[in-house]
Amino acid sequence: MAFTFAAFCYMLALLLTAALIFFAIWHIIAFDELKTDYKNPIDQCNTLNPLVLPEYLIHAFFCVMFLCAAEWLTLGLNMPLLAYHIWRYMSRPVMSGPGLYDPTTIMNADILAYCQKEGWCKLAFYLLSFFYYLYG
Amino acid sequence: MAQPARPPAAYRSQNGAGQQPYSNGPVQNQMMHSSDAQGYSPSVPGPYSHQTPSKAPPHPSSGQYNYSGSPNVSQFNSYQGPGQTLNRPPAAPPSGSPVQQTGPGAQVLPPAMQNSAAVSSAGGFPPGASPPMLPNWQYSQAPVSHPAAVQPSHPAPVAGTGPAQPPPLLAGNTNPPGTYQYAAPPGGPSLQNSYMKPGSVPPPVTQPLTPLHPPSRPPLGPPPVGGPPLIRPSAMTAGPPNTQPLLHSATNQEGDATSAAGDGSVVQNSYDAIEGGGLMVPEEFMYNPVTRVYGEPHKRPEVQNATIEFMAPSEYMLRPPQPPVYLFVFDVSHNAIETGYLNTVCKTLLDNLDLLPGNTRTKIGFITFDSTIHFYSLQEGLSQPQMLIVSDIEDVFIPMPENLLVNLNENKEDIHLTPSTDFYKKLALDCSGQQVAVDLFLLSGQYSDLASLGCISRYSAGSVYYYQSYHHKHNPVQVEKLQKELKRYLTRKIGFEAVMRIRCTKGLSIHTFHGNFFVRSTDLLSLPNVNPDAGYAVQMSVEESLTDMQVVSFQSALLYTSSKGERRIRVHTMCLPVVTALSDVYLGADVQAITGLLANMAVDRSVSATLSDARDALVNAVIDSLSAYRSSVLSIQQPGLMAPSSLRLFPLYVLALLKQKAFQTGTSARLDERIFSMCQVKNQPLVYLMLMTHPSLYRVDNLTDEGALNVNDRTIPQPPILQLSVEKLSREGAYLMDAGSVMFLWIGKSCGQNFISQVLGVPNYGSIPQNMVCVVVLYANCTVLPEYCLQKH
Repeated sequence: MAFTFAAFCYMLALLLTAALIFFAIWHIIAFDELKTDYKNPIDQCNTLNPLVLPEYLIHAFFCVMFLCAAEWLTLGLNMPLLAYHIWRYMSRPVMSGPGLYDPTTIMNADILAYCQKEGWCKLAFYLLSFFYYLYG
Repeated sequence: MAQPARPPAAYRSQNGAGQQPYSNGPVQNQMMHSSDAQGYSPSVPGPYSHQTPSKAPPHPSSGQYNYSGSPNVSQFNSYQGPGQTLNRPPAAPPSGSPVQQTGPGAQVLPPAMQNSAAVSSAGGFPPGASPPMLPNWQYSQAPVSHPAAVQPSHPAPVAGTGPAQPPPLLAGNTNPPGTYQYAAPPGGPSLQNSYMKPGSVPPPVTQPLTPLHPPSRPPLGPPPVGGPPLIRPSAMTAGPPNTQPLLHSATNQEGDATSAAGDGSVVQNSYDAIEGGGLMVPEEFMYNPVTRVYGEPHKRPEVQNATIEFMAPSEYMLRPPQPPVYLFVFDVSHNAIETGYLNTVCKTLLDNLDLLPGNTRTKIGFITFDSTIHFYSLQEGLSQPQMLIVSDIEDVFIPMPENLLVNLNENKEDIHLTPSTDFYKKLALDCSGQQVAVDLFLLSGQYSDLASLGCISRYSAGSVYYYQSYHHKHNPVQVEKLQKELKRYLTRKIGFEAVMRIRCTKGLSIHTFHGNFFVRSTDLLSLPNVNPDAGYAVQMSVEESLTDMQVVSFQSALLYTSSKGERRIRVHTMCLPVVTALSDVYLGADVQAITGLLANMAVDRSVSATLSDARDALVNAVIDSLSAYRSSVLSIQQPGLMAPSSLRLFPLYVLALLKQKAFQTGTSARLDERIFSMCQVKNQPLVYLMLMTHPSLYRVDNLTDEGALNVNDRTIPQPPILQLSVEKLSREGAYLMDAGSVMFLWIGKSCGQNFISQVLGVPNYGSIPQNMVCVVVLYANCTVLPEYCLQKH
């Protein structure tokens, strides 16, 4: 089969999704550590916050790639997640550095539960999209 | 901590492989864990499947009796292995315990109760040792419908009909009354996420609890009970061997265990039931270090008292206790000097230097700043402090700031309630990590973004004091207020390097904390400073069904360094019954706790959402609770507003909340004032919060000695509280309104001559000076009434 740009996009997306899966797993583990008092929130947030923007940028990057490759279906599937990322980042607590997690509020049970759920959902989504890119 | 009694074999195993049961472990990680990994599962083999914590008294006398030094309460115990309580045999309830409640019948579940723990009130209240407690506090005691139960006295109707209750005039006592623990089912199902809507079938055990824990430390009572600490190097050595001969005949099974001294492993297995029914307790618990009697575990201090303090052994210290360090930072820019605050502050500081809590290791330092930072080296041998000016403000080393006296004139134009920068938040977190608390005194006349600045106190367990437009000439009221508040601030009791852990029965989980601290982990609060003027609130949610539990318990443990350098642990335990009917929940509602918690939640909501959201939520809370009451509990539907007697003041309090500066809309409340009011709501103990919301009004020109208190040889009359309504004010009277941090005295035009001349010192009404200030600025809870009463005589 011809080595089209679209195929190239999918392959790249496959690799990058692997990275995103890794990030999602990291998040899940981190929140679990917080919940079980294994780490303290300040340190944990300092490790998590730098990961947030790269994840969003990677995802945005291959959305752009799919746009260029005119793969509308795939693009459509990723659009909601992109919008969600944008909304999440806009409504983050006031911080001077990049990131979403504020150590003073993260231990609030509400927020912790939300972040954990978010982690699991994202993991599921990235896994599904991984297999989709693989076979698509 | 309430632990179900586990059979000794299980007891050992629960701590993991033969580890010592009181694994105190290195400080904060395992600090209060001590075998609660198993949770509070009630399903334990053995006759005791329920916890038996002692119940906290719901009134301030728990602090009072400490203060009066009565010996049989709040025992200090140099016993190691804190936080472990044991099951008392239900046959030994302190039925004879002097029950001091004048109002709330927060009493023990009757001893007839089968295997539910006989919850006792903290025994040994010295009757009459304390002024009457605020009768509006209802203990969340719903009589469980137990077959053989003698119904304990119901909580007395709250607050009379509103106005008629005398307040506790804690005159002569400069410390706020001690620890209160209130529990209240949340008034608004909408605000408590796990409170199931009463429209549905009430689940078998709905007692969502939202206790407010203001661990305002009661004045430290008698010194720790001496005696050999029960050293427990390995598991379960028998108690001091020389007490073996004191075994009672009922406990003669311990004869088996006597051989266990030195051999920890044998001890557990030979305890059989003693009198009162199968009590399986480890050897140590059989010995009561206070009375030095063997064989009466139910008389141990931590079982008899809901509040207890331990000396913390060295495993609880990361390093030896720090000496107290006070660092004062003053703004000496031109504007600041012009307000003249420096004089007042320095003078007050000088006067109170000896009263700063601390010991011989106390350190003090000063820093001043305008555009550069000036450090003062207070070396011995110098006649004057040496001033070192640091102009590089990018990289400054500040040793242990504990106070931050600030007079800022930054001109930010933000209108947000949220902080605009998180610099102060980060700084506060850093300080908290170094066990430094920052208190902020803001004396600015201009807008100084208190929303951001306040963060530095909020997360480092400090407090914010705000004096608007402070100036020593134009505003003498503020001068005196600053003086008095500073004095209080410098001399109040304080604990350092504290952490607090709040635990609850399995099935409940703690959701949110309100107050000034940093939450280090799910239930651990880091408090670099803990003082009596701070209050904390906790939101709980019911995670699992509590059907098989009769009681749920809460325990808060505070590990702190006293100002004398001792490392101590203070434990409060509270136990509440679990009920099945919604009407019982309403019966046990504590309206003040509900209001306080709602206020805290509203502050959070107005910061995260909008102010109008928060206001709506407050109103909805009332509406929901009352409509739920009406629809589910009342059998007869009548027109009009029906409220349970416990919640009949609820609408009034919420209306009062809505009028607070923090929640007002439509007025031109300055942003800083609004933020300060919010800080007050979050930080103050409940007593002051309620006073701030719903002040107490007294008529003072016709005081009588009827029902007067005698405190410190002074007779303090107890005038009744009046309803806050203009119809209660009459022109012939003088009225005092106590609003927490400020008091107002209103003199009617035709007030009696006697009062004006004797009390106010002026000949007639017309010559009362406009800005008579001496009345207005009393801080702390000693009311001004004693003064007047003295003058009257």
